Amino acid sequence: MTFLRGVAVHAVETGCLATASGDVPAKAIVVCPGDDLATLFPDALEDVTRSMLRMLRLAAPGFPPPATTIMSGLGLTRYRGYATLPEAPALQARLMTEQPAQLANGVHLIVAQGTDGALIVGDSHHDGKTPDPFSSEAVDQLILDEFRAVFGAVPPVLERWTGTDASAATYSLVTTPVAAGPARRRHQRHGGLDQLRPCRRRDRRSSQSERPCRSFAVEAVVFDWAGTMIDHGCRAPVVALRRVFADAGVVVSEAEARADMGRAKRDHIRAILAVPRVAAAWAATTGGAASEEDVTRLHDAVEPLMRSVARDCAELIPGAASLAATLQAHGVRIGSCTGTPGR
Amino acid sequence: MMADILPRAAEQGYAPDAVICSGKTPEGRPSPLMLWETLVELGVWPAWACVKVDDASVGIGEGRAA
Repeated sequence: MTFLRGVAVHAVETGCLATASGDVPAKAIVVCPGDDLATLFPDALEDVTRSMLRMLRLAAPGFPPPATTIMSGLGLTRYRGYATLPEAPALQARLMTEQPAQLANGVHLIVAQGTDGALIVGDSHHDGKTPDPFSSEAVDQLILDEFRAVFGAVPPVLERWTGTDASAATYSLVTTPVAAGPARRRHQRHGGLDQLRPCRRRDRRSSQSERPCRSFAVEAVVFDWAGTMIDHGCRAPVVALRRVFADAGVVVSEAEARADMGRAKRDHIRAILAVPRVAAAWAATTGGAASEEDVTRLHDAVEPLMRSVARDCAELIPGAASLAATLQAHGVRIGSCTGTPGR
Repeated sequence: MMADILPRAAEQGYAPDAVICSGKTPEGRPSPLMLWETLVELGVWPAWACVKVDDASVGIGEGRAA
């Protein structure tokens, strides 16, 4: 495993990760943006917000160490595993009257002891896209009030911590905007990310706790012609271009004729004439640089030649017709455009 | 030239809903104008919901530019 530390990811495309230190090809990409909701897939994360959390570290000399991590009753309305139980609404109603300030500030109590003996005490939650940089003493006191209610006394505060996290009303934030199929296989093998699954399966389950998966329909597919749907390897234009240049006394290689394939034919002829080797050969044969008149002459010669060659090269590439038919059967419009002239 | 090719493609079962040839737009590839013209003729949008398939770098550039 290679970690690229301090490297920003600009964009994720199918099969490719664009980073500040270059592109990284990948068969499957899992995006874990933490609370950066703006850089990658902001549309998919629009129901997610940020949450500011506060915790404290308390000195605990002589304080009886808790045998295990302690959570108070406030947590029972916060964590979904408890909050969806049938008893939860009654508890929520009682806490609303007894501890409204704690509920309003997302305060619940979790106490754990660090290896140095100090107690880590959390926490509060305030949602918002732009968390407040100031830490509120009143909120810290709400946490400590709950600590006092459970332990009877509050040791001195050593440190205060403020952090941010991603937060959403839905429980599972896993979504699959890219490469669901291969991603799933990979994660099943590794186990830890096995809750990742393709969109369709999630839609079938359609539980309320999972966000709906976004998708869009492809409206149209636009195919190029030569080399894409007909004429394996673009033979017709290459054959015609090489022949008219040969007729003018200049030999053009297959690679030179093919390099700018797809441009309008006049632009293509200009591009071939601009290749330094071709320009030199042209000058050696004709005694000067190629003019616009030369371009026109070559263009006028290549057109009829291409037409006759094209008729022999208009065989569809295997599978082209059935692919277009399948797309049309799914309601996708089929367009085409080409650098080849109409007439 | 496409006038010679289109009937032969149709005989083999491929007849796209729109055909835009070079010369129909002020600029060709790698500008996106031919592709935009195709979308206009098809009456489809947005462009990001459409796919361009090509084997040549200027044609792929046209798709990216659109």
